[in-house]
Amino acid sequence: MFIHNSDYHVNADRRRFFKRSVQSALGYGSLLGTGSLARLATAAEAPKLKIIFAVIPDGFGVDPHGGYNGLWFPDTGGASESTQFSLGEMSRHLGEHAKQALFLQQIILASGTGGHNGWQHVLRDSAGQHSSVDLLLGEAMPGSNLALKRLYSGPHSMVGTAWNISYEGTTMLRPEDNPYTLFEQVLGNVSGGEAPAEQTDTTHLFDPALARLQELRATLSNSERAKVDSHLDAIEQVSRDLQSQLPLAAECAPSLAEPTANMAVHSADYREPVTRAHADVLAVGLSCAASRVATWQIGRSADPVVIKSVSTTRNPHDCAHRYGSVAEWRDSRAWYMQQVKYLLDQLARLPDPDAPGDTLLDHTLVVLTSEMADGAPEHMQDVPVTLIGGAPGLINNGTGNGRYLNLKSQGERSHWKMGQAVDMQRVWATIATSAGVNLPYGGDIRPLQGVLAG
Amino acid sequence: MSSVATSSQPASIAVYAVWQPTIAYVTGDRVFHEGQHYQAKWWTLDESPSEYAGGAGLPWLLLNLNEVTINSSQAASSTLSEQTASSSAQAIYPEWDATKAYVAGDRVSWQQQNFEAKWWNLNKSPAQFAGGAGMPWLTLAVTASSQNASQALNSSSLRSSEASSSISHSQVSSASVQISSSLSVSSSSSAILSSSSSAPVSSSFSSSIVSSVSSSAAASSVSSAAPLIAPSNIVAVPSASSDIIGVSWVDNSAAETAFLLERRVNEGTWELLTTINRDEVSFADAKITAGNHYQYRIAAINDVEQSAWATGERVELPEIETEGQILFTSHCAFCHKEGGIGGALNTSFVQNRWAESSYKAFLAKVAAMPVSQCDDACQNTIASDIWLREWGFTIELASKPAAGVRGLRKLTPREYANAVEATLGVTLSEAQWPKPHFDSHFKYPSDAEHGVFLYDTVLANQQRAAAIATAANLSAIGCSATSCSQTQAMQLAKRMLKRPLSNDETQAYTTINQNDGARAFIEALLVSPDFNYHITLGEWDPAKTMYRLSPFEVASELSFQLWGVPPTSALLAKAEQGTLNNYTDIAAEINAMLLDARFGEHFNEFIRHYSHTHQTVSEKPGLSQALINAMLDEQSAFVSDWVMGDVPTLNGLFNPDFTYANEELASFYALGSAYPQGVSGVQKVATPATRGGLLHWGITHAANSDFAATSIVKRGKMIREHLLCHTMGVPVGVDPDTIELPAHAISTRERWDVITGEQASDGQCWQCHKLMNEPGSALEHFDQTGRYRTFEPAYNDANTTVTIDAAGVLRDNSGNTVASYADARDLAQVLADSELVQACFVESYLRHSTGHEADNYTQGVVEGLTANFKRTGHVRQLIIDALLSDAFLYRLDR
Repeated sequence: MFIHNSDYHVNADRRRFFKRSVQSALGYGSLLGTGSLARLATAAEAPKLKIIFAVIPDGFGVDPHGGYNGLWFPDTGGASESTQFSLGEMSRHLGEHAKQALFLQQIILASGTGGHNGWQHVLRDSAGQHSSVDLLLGEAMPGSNLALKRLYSGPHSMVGTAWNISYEGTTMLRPEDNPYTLFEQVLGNVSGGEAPAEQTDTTHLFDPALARLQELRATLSNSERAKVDSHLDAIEQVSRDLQSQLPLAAECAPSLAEPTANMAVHSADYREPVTRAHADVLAVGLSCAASRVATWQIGRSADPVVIKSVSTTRNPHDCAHRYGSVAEWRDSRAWYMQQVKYLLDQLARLPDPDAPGDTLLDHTLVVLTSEMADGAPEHMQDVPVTLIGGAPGLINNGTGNGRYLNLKSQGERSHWKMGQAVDMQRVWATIATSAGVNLPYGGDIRPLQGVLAG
Repeated sequence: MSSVATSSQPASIAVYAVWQPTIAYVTGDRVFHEGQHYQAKWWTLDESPSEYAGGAGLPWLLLNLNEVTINSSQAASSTLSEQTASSSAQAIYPEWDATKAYVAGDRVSWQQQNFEAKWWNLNKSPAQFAGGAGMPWLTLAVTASSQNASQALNSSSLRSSEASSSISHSQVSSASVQISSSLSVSSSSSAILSSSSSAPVSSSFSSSIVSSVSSSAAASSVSSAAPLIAPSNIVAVPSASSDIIGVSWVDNSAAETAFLLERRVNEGTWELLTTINRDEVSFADAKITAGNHYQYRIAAINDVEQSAWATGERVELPEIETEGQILFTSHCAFCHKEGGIGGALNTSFVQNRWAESSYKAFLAKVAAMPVSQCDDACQNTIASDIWLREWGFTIELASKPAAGVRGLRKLTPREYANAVEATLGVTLSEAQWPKPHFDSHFKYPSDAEHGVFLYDTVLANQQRAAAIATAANLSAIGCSATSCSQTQAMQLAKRMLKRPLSNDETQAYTTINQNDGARAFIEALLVSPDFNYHITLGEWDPAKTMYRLSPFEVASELSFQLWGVPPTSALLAKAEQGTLNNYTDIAAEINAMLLDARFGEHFNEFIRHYSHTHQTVSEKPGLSQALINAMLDEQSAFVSDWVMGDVPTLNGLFNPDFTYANEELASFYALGSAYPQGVSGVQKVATPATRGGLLHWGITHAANSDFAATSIVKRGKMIREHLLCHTMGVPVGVDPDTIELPAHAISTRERWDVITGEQASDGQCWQCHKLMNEPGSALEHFDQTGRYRTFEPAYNDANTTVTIDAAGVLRDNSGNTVASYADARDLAQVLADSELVQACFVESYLRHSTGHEADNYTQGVVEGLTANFKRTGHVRQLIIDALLSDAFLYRLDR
C-alpha cells in the first residue's frame, strides 16, 4: 500500500494548521547566515546509521503453550549460536527480513517480574533513573531537523492510560498518537523536491520568557526552582537547534506518508491503518533525513485496543493472557510482527537520504523488543531483543540467513529461573557504544560480545 | 533408693529447687513451682513455669511424678548423700583411669562406686579425692530404676557433659557440692525444711538449698588452702527474642571468692562486665544490642590469685527486624535496594525529598507500588516503619502552618486551550492541545510535579505558538487587521499574562511588536511562563510569616479553578482596583462566580476525570459517534444542573431521578414516553432506577469497557481508584495457573472468577481482584456501549445467554466487607452514603484544583474540609471552604 502512491489520498486540509509550524516559527527576524547553508545535508555524504526502536506490548509469548514451545525464539537444536535455525510461530512473520536479523536470547529486564511495569524500564537503565536510550541516541545522532531529537510515534499508546516508554531523566515523555499530527511534526515543513525555503531565526522571541524564568528562578526554591531550570535548559537547547537547522533532503517524498483521511485514531476500527500510517511517517521521515532515530511504540502494555482481525471481542491483552483460544494468543502476537514487517518493507523500499542507490533499510538498525517476555505470567525473563536490518558492518547478523545468539555465557546476573542472564541495559550499552555514545547508566553496562560485527 | 512418690498426684514436695524469677534457666534445668515440677526446654528468665509451660512455644515442660523420680536421679544425683548412695551403688561407668585426664562432668566407676568429675583432674583417684569441697570427684548414687538412664547418659560424653553442665546451672547443683561438705543446716532455712521434712529426698534437697545459703563463709575458710581452678564450659546463649544473653559456666573450684566475667563486643577489647559471687554459675546479660557480636570469658579469683580465663564462643545476635522491616524485605527490598530498580530508600536524597511531604502522601505512594499480597495494614506497617524508624519523621501534622505551594504549575491542556480561545479567539481541536503530563496514580491533568517543560514540550509549545499566532484574528482581539498599537498590545499582554507588565517586560515586548510584528509579539506572549503556568508567588505577609496571594494571583486562580479560563478583564480590573484584597471581597467574588453558568460547565472537567471518562471514546459496534456525543452532552448537562442546583450532594451525583438525553439517547436508554418528543439537543428527563447518575451514564460504561466486551476490571478499578481513592498496583511476582474454563455456559463475571477468583492460582490474583471484580460486576447490567441488559451471551458460548448477576459486596480499602448490594443502583446508594467516598471526593477535587497532593502544610486543611463536607454534604460549600482556606490564600516554599 505504501509504495503505490495512487493509493494515498493527500489531505491537504489537515495540513492547514501545523503546516507552518517550524516554517512559521522561522518566519520572523534575520536570515540564517550562509554558514548554515554549508551544513546542508547532501547525497554525497557518507551513509549514516539510522536506528528505529520498535516496541510491542505484552510480550512475545516465549513460554510454552498450546503445543508451541513459545512463539518467538528460533529453534537451533540447542546451539547457543547459530545461523541455521527454524523460526518461531511469531518470528516467522518477519518474512525475508529474518535473514537480516540477529535474535538475542537470555536477556532479563529490570526485576524480571511485574511485566506491566516494564514500560518504565524497557528502553532505559534497569534502575529507571535515566533518560531512555532512544532519546540519548537521538541527541547524539542528529538528523537534518535538529529539533527532532528522535521521532516518537505511539499509535494507540495512550488509550485508557499513558504507559509510555521514552523518558527524559525521570519524566515520561508522551509519544504522538495521532498520525496526522505526527505527519505535520515530522514532514509538515518538508518541501518535497522543491528548493528549501530560506529560514529565519526567531529564537529571540524566547527572550522575554527567559528573562521571566530567570526572575522566577531567583525567588523560588527547591523543586519549583528545578522546574524553572528544566524550562530554561530546554529553551536554550531548542533555540540552539532551531538556529542550526538544516534544510531537509530535497529528494524525499513526504507525500508518501500523508495519512489517509478520516481515520478515528483511537478506534479499534482503524487499528491497523493507524498503526501503519505511523510507520509510514517514521520511514519517510528517516528517508527525508528529518531525524536518524525513531521510536515506535505500538499500543501500550495491557493493550486494550481490539485487533479485529484476531478477535472482535477479546482485546490483545486478554489474548496475551491466553484467556481465549490458542489461535487468538498466537495470532495476536503475530499481528504485531506483521506491523513490524510492514515497517521493514517500507524501509526496504525507500531510498537512504545519504547513500544514492541504497535503501533506507541498508543503513537502518531496527531494534525489536517488548516490555515483557510473556504476557500470560507477565514476566520479563528472557525478553527477546532482535536487531534487524542492513546496518552493514554494525551488527553481526550472519551471512544471509540471520543469526541466533544466546547470551547466557555473558550473563552478569544470576536468576533463579534463567540462570545467568544479561540485563537489557547492556544491549542498549552495546548499541550506544557502536554509535559512539556512552550511556550514563549505573550497574553493569559492558558491551556484549558477538553482537556487533567485528 | 529413691523415696520420691510415684503416684500421679501433683507433687507437693519439692524435689528440685524452687523456681526463682531472677535466675536464668537453660535447657534441662528442673525446678519446683507451685506444687509441680518443670523442666526448661530452652533458656528462660522470669517466665513463670505455671504460666509458660505446655505449648510448643513455651519454655517449660511440666513433669509428671514418674519423670521426676527417674530423672531426679540424673539431674540431682549429686545431691544425694554419700551415705545413701553407698548402700546400693553399682559400677556402671567406665573404670577410672589414672592416666586419663577428666574434665568436669565426666563420670567413672571405681571400686563399685560411681563418681563425677567436678573439674579437670589427672591421676586423682576417686577413692581418695571425692567428697570434700576441694576434691575433684563427686560420689554419685545410682538407683536401680535410674540405671538405664544413667547408662544412656554415659553413652555420650557430650551428653554427659551437657547433663552435668545443666545441673550446675541450677541451685540444686551448686547446693549439692555443699552437701558433700556436710555443712550444717542453717536456721534461716527452717521454713523450707518444715515444708518438706516428711520426704527424705526432698529433705536432702532442702538441706542442700539451705546449705548453699551458708556456704559462702565455709568456702571462704577453705579458699586459701585449696587450689584455684579456672571455671570451664562457658556457654553463652541468646534468648529466643535475642534481648538477653544467658551466660553459664562450670565452677571447678571451691577456692574462689568471686568470678570476673568479661565481655567484648564485635571483636573489640575485653572489658569487665561484672563481678560475680562465688559459686554462681550463670549470668543474664541484658545490655546487648541486636546485630552485635558478643564473646564472654570468665576467671575465678580469690585473695591470692586469679585463675586462667575460660573463653566462650562468639555469639552473633541477629538484627532484630521490625515487622515493617520484615514486610519490606518480603515485598519491597527486591527493587528498593542499592542498585535495585527502585533504588535504596535509606539515602538522604530520598529522605529529603519526602521531608516536606506528609505521611499520608507517602502512604499513598507505598500503596501505589506494584506489590501484590500487601493489604492496607501491610502497606501502613511498611510506610510507618520507613517514615518513623528509618527516616525519623513524625506523623503529626501540627508542625507546619497551613499554606499552599508557592511556585508554578502548568496549565492543563484544556486550560491552555481555553486561554488561547479567551485571549486570542483561536479554537484548538483536542489534537492540537498540549499533551497532558500526569502520573496515572495522580489521576488529574493538573499534576504539578509532572507538568514540566522539557525539550519536547518546549519545542511543541513553540511550534504551537507560532501556528496560533498565525491563525489569530488580530482585529478580533482589539488590534488592527495587521498590527497592534502599543496600547492595544499592552492590553493584550496584560490579559494573556494575567497581570500588568513590568517596565522591562513592556520594553521587551514592545520591541518585538515593533520589530517583528504583532504575530511575533503574540508568539512571544504564548511562550511566556506567565501564559503557560499558574504562578503563585504571593506577597510576603509579615504578620502571618507567609506569602499571601496577590490580588492578580487571586483573580487568576479563582478564574481557572471555577471557570477553567484566565481572568476576564473585569476581574483583572478588580484586582488592580484593590477589590480582591480581603477575605470578604474574595468570598463575594467566589459566590458570584459560582452563580455563573461557566462554573457548572467547568466543573464537568473534574467529573470527567473523577469518573474516568475523560479519555476519547471511539465508536464500537452498536455505539455511533452520535450516541457518544449525546452521552457526553448528557454528562455535561447533568453535572452543570446538579452542581448549580440548590444542594449538590454526592447522593445527587450518584442517585438523581433525572438525566439529560436527546431523542437518540433516550431511545437507546429506553426511557420511553418520559422523553419529550420532537425537541433537539439534550433535555432533562426523568429516569427509572436503571438510569441517572454517575454510575448509570452511558459514557461511564462505554469509556470503562473494551471494544466489544465489558471490562469488569476496568470498571472495578475505576470505582476503586477514583471513587474510593484506593490505588491499585500492577501485579508483581504473580505466577498464574493455566486457565481452564468450565464446559457449561458462564457469564463474564464467572469467567473473571475462574481467572482471578479466590480459588484461582492459589488466591494470588484474588488479593487485589477481590477489590475490583465485585464493584466492576455491579455494572454488568450495562454492556460495553452502555446499553442496559439483563442477559448476556455466555462468555464461552455465544449462542447461549446467561442471566447477569450484579449483586455483590463492597470492601473497604483493607478488604473488609462493608456493604452488600443487589445491583448498580444499590451500589450507587452505598457509595453516596460512604464516608470513604466523601473523603475521596474532597481529596480528588483538591488534587484536580491545586495540582498537589496534601502534604504536611495542607493535610490539616484537607481534614478540616473533609469533616465539613461529611457534615454538610454540600459540594459548592466545599469549594467555597477550599478557596477561602489558608491553603489557598497563603503560600510557602516547599
